[in-house]
Amino acid sequence: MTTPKQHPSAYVLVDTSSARVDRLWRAVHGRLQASARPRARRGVWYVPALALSVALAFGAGLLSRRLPESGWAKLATANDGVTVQLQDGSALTLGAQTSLLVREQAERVVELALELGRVECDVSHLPQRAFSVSAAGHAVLVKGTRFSVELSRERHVLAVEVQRGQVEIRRTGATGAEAVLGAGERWSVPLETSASTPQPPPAELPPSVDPSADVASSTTASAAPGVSAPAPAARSSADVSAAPPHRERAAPVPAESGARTLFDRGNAARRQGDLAGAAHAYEQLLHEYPADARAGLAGFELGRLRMDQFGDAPGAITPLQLAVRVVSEAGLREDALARLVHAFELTKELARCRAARAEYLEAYPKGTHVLAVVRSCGGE
Amino acid sequence: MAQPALASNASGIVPSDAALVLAARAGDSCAQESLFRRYLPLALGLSQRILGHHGEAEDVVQDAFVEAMGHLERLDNPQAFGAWLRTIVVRRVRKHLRRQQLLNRLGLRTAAPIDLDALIAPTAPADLVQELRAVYGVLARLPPEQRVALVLRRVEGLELGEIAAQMDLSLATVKRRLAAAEARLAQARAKL
Repeated sequence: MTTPKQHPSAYVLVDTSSARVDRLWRAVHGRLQASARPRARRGVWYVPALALSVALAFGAGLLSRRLPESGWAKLATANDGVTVQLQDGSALTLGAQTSLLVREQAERVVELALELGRVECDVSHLPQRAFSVSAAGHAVLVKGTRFSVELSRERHVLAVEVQRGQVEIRRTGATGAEAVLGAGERWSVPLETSASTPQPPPAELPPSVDPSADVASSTTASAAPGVSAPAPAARSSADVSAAPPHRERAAPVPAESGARTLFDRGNAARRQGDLAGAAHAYEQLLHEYPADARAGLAGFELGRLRMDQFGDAPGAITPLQLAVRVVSEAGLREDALARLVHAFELTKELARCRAARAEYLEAYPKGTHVLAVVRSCGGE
Repeated sequence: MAQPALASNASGIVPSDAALVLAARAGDSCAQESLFRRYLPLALGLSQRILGHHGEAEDVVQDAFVEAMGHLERLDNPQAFGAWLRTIVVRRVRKHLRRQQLLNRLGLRTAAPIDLDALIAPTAPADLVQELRAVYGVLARLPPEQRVALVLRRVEGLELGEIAAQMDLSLATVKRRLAAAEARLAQARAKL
């Protein structure tokens, strides 16, 4: 008997070693991440750790940057916003008329102090790194999230708003949390007077001014160099009136946005190995947004987690049933139905197992999981 | 390395392409990675068989995956990811060849010969080695469109209709391209 001759393409050597595959994936993944990163409105500046001394002064769209040698950075905007990227991948978007101190930027800690204005932080998730923004006697502590802090001189208010993830707010010096905010929540506290809040940075830098001197004067006025130097706005909690903080839901979060947030949170938690967190996010999505387009996939993922990771086949049945019911895409529904058969088999619900098996074989007689499904439910 | 999500699981059920595509569309990078690992051999093989060079094939494949992952919403049938990716790879290869042709004409690049010993498996039967050597020997002298059509036909073994679909050309155009390429191939063989 002769061996059937293979096609010519089978004899062209292609190296698909794991080392090559890994290398190519890293390259592709990096490009995908780069393309997904939001573009800065007026550009992105990288602030490496060794260049913490960056001091930026923006005046009426005219950029003035100098790099004096010191251990911290001050970022200030005049009439335009700017986005700055920290070395850990976190992005800070400063609004107009904003002054922000980068008091510490190290492997395990990033400390920012908002003196005035508004900063939006898109914080990369690094479990070992503490990220905080202090303002007006409060500190916002985060792990990985997207949120904004606003210190308004005109409205005499400090406000924190969370778009994604979770943040904790503490009074400066306190150990306990004053508030914990989730996605879509906003927290604010009124300031007593505007007298204690610093003045905005100059709207325009005179061209004749020596930029280094300008930076030095502005930094001297705001804080002494060093990590321990408090930002003026964070000098004392007495700056803040006795009025209780106000916590509210931010502008109603559209269902689509909320479901997406939960779905993203679940995916992110799963990638980080927080399987319980992932399951919780998927559960919440199914509970709050059962009609969302992601509900089917969330049900499938929740069922998969419960079956494979938590050994909870009974708990996987309901989300898988939901996935089978709501998913219209054939491939995903087929996967969910095959899993449902397996879940019934594990829970020894043979009648339901056979019913699900029959449903699968009728719907997908040539499906990917036919062999596994046929052998299930006792193989009858 | 962490196992990509949805790649496999304890119950042995491997997720379908559709499940991975939907998850990737929703921003799940683990699903993207699963799709990449599942289809890299296909894409890299196709690219390398047309181009003949490892490095160039890698560049094209990277571009193809970035394009595919970035435009998953355009894929009407998520289960057809593999076929869709093939068309993207073929389009990227053609673009790459056209750019190289231009650089060659401008004298900005010198085409490196294909290393047939490194390309063809030592286990290949003698008649297939002869066939592959003839095809790859003539490729460098063919215009990009003819080159792609010839490899898809002679090496990949595709039907004319499949070639037309992957190259996004009419059947008549594919026939013309192939006829021209086959004529050059016949001339080369006659000289041997």
